[in-house]
Amino acid sequence: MYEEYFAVGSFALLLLSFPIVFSAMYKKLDAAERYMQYSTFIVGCRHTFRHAHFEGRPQRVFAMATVILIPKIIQWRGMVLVEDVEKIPRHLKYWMVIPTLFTCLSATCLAITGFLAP
Amino acid sequence: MQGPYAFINERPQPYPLLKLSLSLDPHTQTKFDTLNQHIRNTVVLPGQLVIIGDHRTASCTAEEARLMQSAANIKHALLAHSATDQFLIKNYDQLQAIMSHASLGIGSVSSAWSKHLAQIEQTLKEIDELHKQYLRNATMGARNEFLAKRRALFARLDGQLSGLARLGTGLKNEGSIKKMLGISSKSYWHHGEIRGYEETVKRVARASELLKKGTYIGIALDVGATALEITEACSTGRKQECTQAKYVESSKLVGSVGGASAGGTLGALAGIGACAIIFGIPTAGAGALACAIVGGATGGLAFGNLGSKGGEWVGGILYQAVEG
Repeated sequence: MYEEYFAVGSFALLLLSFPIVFSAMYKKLDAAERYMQYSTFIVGCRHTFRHAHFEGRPQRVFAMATVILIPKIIQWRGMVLVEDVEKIPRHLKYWMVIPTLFTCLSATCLAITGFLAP
Repeated sequence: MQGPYAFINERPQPYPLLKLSLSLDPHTQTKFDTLNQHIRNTVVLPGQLVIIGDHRTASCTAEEARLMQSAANIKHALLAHSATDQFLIKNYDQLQAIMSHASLGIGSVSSAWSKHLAQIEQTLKEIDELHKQYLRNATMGARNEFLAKRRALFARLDGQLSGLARLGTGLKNEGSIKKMLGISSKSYWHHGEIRGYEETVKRVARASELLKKGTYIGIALDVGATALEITEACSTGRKQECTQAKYVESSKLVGSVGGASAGGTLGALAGIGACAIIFGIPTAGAGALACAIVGGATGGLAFGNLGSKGGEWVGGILYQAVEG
């Protein structure tokens, strides 16, 4: 019984993740990326995914979230400066991180649903 | 070297670092900045043209002006298309770039088109592996064997790209794949060869663009298959089966496309991120594309399949709840 609730819930989560990611992609991404224009990680990702679907914006949101969540590790590879990440306003950080975590959560739940499916 | 010359940047690097690596004398540094307005104070991406001025004069010559024009054209073409990768410098890397776009198709579908793209991808991987093998033991004997094997693989790739994948790319009349992808691997370009490079950038970018559309075709095929399933259930079965098919097949489609889309996107970024952080591979260029391919294809296929299974189950649950 609970498994069925979980399955329907994970589906709802997946459907909900799309508008949230799209809002971040088109409303906040450009503003957030302006703080990271000298980061080879962000510039490289933007370039690599430039002609993917939606100009690679979903991937770029996830890349920004990665940089915000683990700046020191990426700085260790010389691809970003922690000071640059710290300059990003808090609300923009949330706009990058929350949709990413939401998508990860929905994808994980979907995968579990797939495994639980009879 | 007498006169101005230019070379293609091979890896992403900040402009000051590039300038530093060239060890220019102080007199030519100002001229270097003037000639390279198109890349000044940016991260210089692979494929962009870097101009080294004529050191005999401080003023700009006509040849330098031509090179600047070419550099601007190349920059425009590279930004307008997705071909700014190392594949423009080395043939096999170019194949990897096409492979990345093919994989975007795999990320969203589980139908015939993705199978076609997967076959192309497999051939490209084999070509890539062949090049790596050859680079590991580059003897004369190995070279002949390498050339023979590569010819066979190019012939196979030629066949695979002969249908829809190549349509409209302008590559069909170019003859062999080798010729189609034939770009000199020389690091330095004299101005006479630049025009050919510009044209190749545009041509290959068009091929990449076309392959990218594989995802949309795949989704269209999946939607078509769902519609067919529902139509079949409604025409042959009872009303109850028809209604059930509507719930189940629609949910299956949403799960498959949604899961593959989320999984493919996350997977591509995870691939590129893991390669950059663990192996230090730059996030732009052929290496990064290969990582994105592996991540995106794995994520897309895995989550697409699981989403499809989950969707079928959820469709059944919803049917029971609403109609049952």
